[in-house]
Order: sequence, then structure tokens, then C-alpha cells
Amino acid sequence: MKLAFSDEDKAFRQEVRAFIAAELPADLARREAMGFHNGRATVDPWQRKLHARGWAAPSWPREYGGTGWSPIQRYIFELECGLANAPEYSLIAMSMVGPVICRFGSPALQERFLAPMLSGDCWFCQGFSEPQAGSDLASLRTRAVRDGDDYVINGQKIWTTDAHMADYMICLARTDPDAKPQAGLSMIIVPMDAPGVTVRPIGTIDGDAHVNEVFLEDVRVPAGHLIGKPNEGWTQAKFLLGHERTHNAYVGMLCRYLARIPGLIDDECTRGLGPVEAAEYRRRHALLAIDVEALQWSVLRVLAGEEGPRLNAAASAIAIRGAEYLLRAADLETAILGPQVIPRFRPDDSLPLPAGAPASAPGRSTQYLYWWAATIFGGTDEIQRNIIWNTLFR
Amino acid sequence: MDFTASNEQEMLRDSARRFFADREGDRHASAWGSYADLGWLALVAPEDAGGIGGDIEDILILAEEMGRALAHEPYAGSAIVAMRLIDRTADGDARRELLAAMADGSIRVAPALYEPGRRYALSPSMRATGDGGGFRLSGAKILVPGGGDADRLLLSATLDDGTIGLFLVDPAATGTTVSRYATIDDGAVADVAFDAFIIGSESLLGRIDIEAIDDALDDARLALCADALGGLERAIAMTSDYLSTRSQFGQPLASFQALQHSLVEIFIDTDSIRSSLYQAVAAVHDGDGVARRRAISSCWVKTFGAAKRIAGTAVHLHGGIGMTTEYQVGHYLRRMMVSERSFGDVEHHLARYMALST
Repeated sequence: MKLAFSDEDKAFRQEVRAFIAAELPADLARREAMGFHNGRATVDPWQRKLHARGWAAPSWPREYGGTGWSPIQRYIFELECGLANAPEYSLIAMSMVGPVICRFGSPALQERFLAPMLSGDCWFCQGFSEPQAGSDLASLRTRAVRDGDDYVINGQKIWTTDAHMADYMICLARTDPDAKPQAGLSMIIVPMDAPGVTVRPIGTIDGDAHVNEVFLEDVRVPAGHLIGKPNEGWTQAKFLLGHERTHNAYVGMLCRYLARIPGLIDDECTRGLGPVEAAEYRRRHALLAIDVEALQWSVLRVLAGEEGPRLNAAASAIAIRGAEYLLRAADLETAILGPQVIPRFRPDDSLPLPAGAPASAPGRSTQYLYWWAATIFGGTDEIQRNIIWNTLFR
Repeated sequence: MDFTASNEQEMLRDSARRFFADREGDRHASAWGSYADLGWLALVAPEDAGGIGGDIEDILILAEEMGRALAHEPYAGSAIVAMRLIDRTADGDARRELLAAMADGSIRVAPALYEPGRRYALSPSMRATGDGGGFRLSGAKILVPGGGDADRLLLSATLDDGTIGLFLVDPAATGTTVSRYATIDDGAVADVAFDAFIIGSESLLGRIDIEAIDDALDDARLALCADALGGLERAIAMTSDYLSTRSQFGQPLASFQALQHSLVEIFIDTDSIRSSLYQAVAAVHDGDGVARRRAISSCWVKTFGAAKRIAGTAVHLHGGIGMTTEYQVGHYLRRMMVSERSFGDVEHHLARYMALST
């Protein structure tokens, strides 16, 4: 047992820090810190810099253009990006779809899609959830029927993050209606500009725009767009969702909050925040920092493979606490800023700040409201608790 | 980064688990001699004084097992705190001989640091006034762990020049009153009072500052966190077993989702304590003094901020049987109550953490 970062890990951390300090544009960091959902045009320049450095895909195998980093190095990279307000570039493409295509895709699919994903020329969304298939994903109804050299897809997807700016969707569809629910599913790549694809944005309570409904009506895609073999979609989906198990801890984002909050308190003390309230907020910050310090080591335990057969339970525990701590962090920030977070700020700089509102106010309410989604997506907290029970105690 | 226990560490864990399993039902008989025979006291003592100088990881593996087994020997106090303090203050042969005698179990030393009405303050109001060639001790120490069974007391007292001295005294000597009593978790402590007690100059082991006393407590703090972790993990395992065996409304309690999720919640909290312990151990190896103290206080707040709620939920999930002294699960709750205020409590450590964070 040796519970310390190696000298190589420490050197790697310095390398990442130096790269971000040199390459991350200040305006992009400022926008990212606000916390509104980033548009593609906003983050593309950052992806191009990462790509030039060979760091575009931390979680892909090296032979496909990934970094070949160890799990600990990936953790360090995520942490440093979070601290430095570097945006996360298309999580779905880089952390989920990419690894699935690397692992299960045909050489033709790999050749066609992987390089453009790395360079930022090809953006994916993930079509899993449906109106009648949320937590119970296996009950999904979208069907893909083989017709000559094509599949014809009919159905509806919902909560599809980034569908409005994606080039392709990785669509989980039923290819064998007679099999058991999990057994008859396949993953198929659908071009978002194919005839029959309609995207309708969904307004969410955070006031931002990131999720959509996607309607699929007689959408024809070449049969070669099916990833791997027909009817192994459930295995692939589990691989996809499990690939970034520790991502749901949001340690990078949490450390960003923790680093920022003391300064917010100090600033507000010059704008009328009283000493008793300030002391209470500092106390809440310390308690959150202590919880996050433990969470970081829970993540490291999973990454280092310490958990063995308990991995599923450990990953679920991390997801539950990650969401809880994000909400506490975001709630604390809004509490510190007080009435200054009441306006509905927009990410568009052209709108002036309301009188007296500090530059730190925009995005705070939006982020707090958004993080309630973290208690739902990727498996609700209750689903995660069921997984822990079934893994450890059943 | 390697989280795998070495073969030696696995053996240490196994032998401790076997030892405690064999003496179950006999928990209240003193096992200090066996601790010495097993090398558990030598594990804490430095190598140049007859000890093994074990890694903090090894000590914490033992502490976990002690917590699991609800062992009552004052390992954190009489092994860790006493040896760390003596290692820092005594010199030469006196240091080596005393530590060697503690490591082989022939002398048991109880640290007497806390005083009436002073909570967790480590600055002694007890005075050691120069008197001829020796000192005159006046004052009292309280809640001395294992103080009724110790061969020597290790006390802190303020000297005439305002510095702090550490004294080794015989509790059986005239002028010393030792009042032994039980703690709420069935442990044994003692209060010690000195009324113009005259001791020779050789009783003064050396001088120490408050920060060094606090540092000497830090390994013991981690041991108490590990002790709590071992106990809480055992309480959860017992609760899981109970939920699958006990039936109500014609089905096992384990079939009710509300109870499943309640158990899962305390599992998550307990497992986070393990992670917090690991971050503290990493800081012990890697950090400077500030980072180390801060990380240990972080672990304390994480552990004891949750420990009673975890153990209490385990009691709750057992229903009435959990409240009985006959059943083991409630004893973990009692132990958490004592441990959480043994070397500073949650608020004390949160304050220390915050002071070290700026």
C-alpha cells in the first residue's frame, strides 16, 4: 500500500498546468467559469489546441489517437482543467461515443469518424432516453428495421443533450422486437441532417438551452452505420455508460467551486455581507471541502482498481455524492451572492449587468438549477442506490 | 498510487482478526501483555529503541481491527500518544530504555494531558514548581485513558519559566490520588490529582511545546478514525445480515426499499471515511506540517461528523434489539460517542482545519 502520487504524476500535473496556462484563452476561461452551456463555436478553439498537443481524447486507446494516459493521469488532467476553468469538450463524443467506436466499431466506421471527432469537425449526441424509457432504459421503443442495405428508423428520443448542434447521433434502437428487452437492441450512427430527423429544443428550468427531443420518421441510414453486431447494443450501452464511471464525481468542477468561493465571500464582505453570515459561509465551505477531499480519494480508489468486484457500487456512490456536493457548492455560491442572483442573466455579453451586480453573478442561479439534473441523468440517485444494494447486500 | 495491502499487511490484519475472534466473550480482560507479545506495541516504537517503527498504514490496519472488535485496551493513548511524546522529549539512554520497556509491555504508560474545565486545551494549568533539586506538582488531570492500570503517568505541566515539561510519575506514590471510573462505552479511565506532590528532577523527561504535543496526538487521531471505520463497517455488515434474517409483514426486512436505501446511505458515508483516511495518510507521507495537520483534521471531521449517525442508523435498522446491551451493534454507537471527543471534537477540528486553510 502506497498512498502517494508518484514523481511522474507530479511532473505530469506541472506539464498540464503549464499547457493550460499557456494555451487557454482568457475569454474562454471567463465564459466557462460563468457556467452557461457552451456552444460549439465557443469551445472549438480549445479542442483544436488540445488536438495539436495530442490531448484531444484522454480516454481513448493510444492507437486510435488517444493519449494512452493512466487512469491517474486522466484524473489529474480533469482536475487541472476544472481548476483552470478549461471547458470540457463534448463529453459525449470524447468520453462515451469515441471509446464505443474504438472498441466495437468496424474499421470503416473507425476510419470515418474517429479522426474528425479528435479534430472537432464531428460532434455527436447520444440518443438513449425516450418518453417511456427513462430509468427503465431497456423498455425503449425506437425501432430500426433492416431494408436492403439500409436500416429504417422510427421513434422518438428525449433529453438529447447537444442534439441541436451535433452532426451525428448514436442511437440505441430495437432491432429484434421478439427478443427480451435488453437482448434486441443495437447502436446505430444517425446523421442529424438525414431526412426524417427533427430536433425540437426543450426549455429547462435553468433557463439555458442544452437538451432536445429528437423525432425519427422513416430515417434511412446505411447498414454499415450499425456499430458491431446487431443486437449487442445493450452490452455497448453498458460499456459506454461505464466507461467514465468516475466522471460523475465532477471533482474538477467541485474543485473549481471550492477555489472560487473564498474570494466570493471576501468580495461580498465589501458589499454588505455581515460577519456572522460570512463566518457561516466559510464554515459551509470548509465542510464541503472536507467532503470533496474524501470524494477525490474515492475516485482515486476506483481508478486504481482497488475496488475489484465492488466497482459498480463504488461508482454509484461517487455519482450520488458528486451530484449532492455540486448542489451544495452551487447553492452556497448563490447564498453568498444573495439578491444579486435573482436576475435572469444571459450568456450573451451584449446584455448589460443589472445595476450593482458583480461580474461573478451571471450563471450562478443557472448552474444551481442545472445541477438538479445531476441527480437524475446517468441513473437517478435511487437507481444508484439500488445498484449499490444489489452489488453489496442482496 | 497503490491501494493493495502488502502480504505483511494482510498477515497483520489476519492475525489481529484471529486474535480478537479467539477472545470474544472475554473482551474485558486485559490484553496488554498479548498486544506486546504480538508485536503491536513495538510496531509504534522507533527502530533505534527496540521497536519496529511501523508505517502509519500498518498501525491503522491494527486500529481498524481493534475498532471492529470493540477492543478496550487504550492503544491510541498508551501506545501511540505516550510513545510519540516520549520519543520527542526524552534523550539518550533514558529514551531508549523507556521506549524499549513500553514496546515489550513491561512498562505501561498512560498520557495525562487534559485537565478539568479546559476541554481540549493542551496548555497545562498544572504547575511544576522547582523545589530543592526536584519539583512540586499541583493540579489534576482527567480522563486519563487506562490511567487506573498504568505503571507510569506521562504528564504535562507548566514550569516556573513558563515552558511545558513532560514528567513521568508513579501513580502509586504518596501524594497522588487516582480515581478510576468507567466510560459510557465500558472503557476505563482515571482522574489523577496531585497535592503538593514532590518528585525528583529525573522525573522531568524533557520540554515540549504545545504544537509538538498536538503533533504527537495526530497519529493517535488517525488511529481513532481507523478504529471508528472498522467498527462502522462491522455495524453495517451486522445490519445487512439482520435485514435478511428478520421477517415482518411476511417478508424479510431486506425486501423493503426504504430499509435498503437507508443501509446504502450509511454504507456510502462509511466508505467515504475510508477515502478520507487515505487522503490523510497521503498527507502524512507527502505533505508539510500544515498540510498534514489540515488533512488529519479533515479526516476527523469527516469521520466523526458522520460516525454517530451511521452507528445510530444501524441501531435503528435493528429495531428494539439494537438498543440492548446484549446485542453488539449498539456498542458501536457508544464507542463513537467516546472516540469523537477523545482528542478534540468535530468543531475543534473544523476550527483547526479552517485556521490551517487560510
